[in-house]
Amino acid sequence: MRELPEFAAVRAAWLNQPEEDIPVDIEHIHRRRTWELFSTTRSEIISSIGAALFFASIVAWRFAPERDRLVLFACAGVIVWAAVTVFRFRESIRRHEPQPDALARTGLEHYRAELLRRRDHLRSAWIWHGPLLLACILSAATLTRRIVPGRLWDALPLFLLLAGWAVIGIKRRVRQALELQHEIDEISGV
Amino acid sequence: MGHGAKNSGSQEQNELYTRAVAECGRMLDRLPGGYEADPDKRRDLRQEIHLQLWRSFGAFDGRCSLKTWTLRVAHNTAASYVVRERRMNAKLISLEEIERTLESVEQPRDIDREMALREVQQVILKLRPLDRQIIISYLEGMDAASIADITGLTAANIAMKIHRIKKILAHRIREEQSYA
Repeated sequence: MRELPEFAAVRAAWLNQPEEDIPVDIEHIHRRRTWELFSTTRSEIISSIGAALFFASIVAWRFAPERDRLVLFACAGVIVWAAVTVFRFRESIRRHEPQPDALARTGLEHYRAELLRRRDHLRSAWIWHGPLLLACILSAATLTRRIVPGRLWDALPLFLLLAGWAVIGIKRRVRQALELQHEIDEISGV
Repeated sequence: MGHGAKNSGSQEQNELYTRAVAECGRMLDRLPGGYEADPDKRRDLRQEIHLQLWRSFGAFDGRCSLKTWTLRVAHNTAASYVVRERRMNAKLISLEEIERTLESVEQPRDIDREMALREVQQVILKLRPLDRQIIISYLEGMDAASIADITGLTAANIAMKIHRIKKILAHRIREEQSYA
């Protein structure tokens, strides 16, 4: 293949990149835990469940003495749903190292597997985001009832805000999952 | 690069890792530049690549050459990183999409290498991981058959993509030079 002069310059520039002198110490790398490299999947599930439990516990702590059955029932719902989510996604949450030779697959196989994993995670977002949504609705409903008892109208802006947030989140994840599916289809046809 | 590898792995694993670094060390140094623009994150990615490489040699079975194994592990570690970081990043595109946006530009007389490196990194960072594997391997001087071993794509597909990459990069360089 004939080499264009521009491309020869590009290759020379790439090969002559300045060397960064960073010692590589396997012991040090083994101990290292870098937040940026943590699994997105794992952090998404944990932060969603954590926030749901936080909201539910605040509501239960503040309103349980009033023996509001609806509040207590909803709090229990959040906790049960969170527990089911943790059990259902235990493999994604557990910080596990891949099999030593898993990364020695061809780039095509590996990338496809990664895209499939991410797509499945996005498609199941309704499960792992459920407790947080329920806890937000519970918090909003409880707080507005407490501020202005019996006036559902006052709670409307909060409900609309939550509904809008939920719809945007769902649409974003559906779009991301579709983009990934499109890319999976593309590389599957190669 | 210093490699003070004090570890608890088997002797064979350590020997394979040392050989891989001796054979591909500079390639492994340059490779993260095609996957991460931020210098600190790039250093982390580089360390991650070395960790995964060392781990992988515990299961080295000779299914491919040491060099192919090393580069597969390095690229796949970086590809997983790109997928994880993807929700924060701009949309990644294919070579074909970049190619469609090219317009005709005059050929420049002199080419500034620093600018060329900047351009090539900007192009690479926009691409999907598989296209990045091809472009980085090609810049490292590998032929289509060797790149096919690493990526799992056919040699014909690789050749076609290399043709596109060269066209895109040449165009970007000309465009940049014409503005300078």
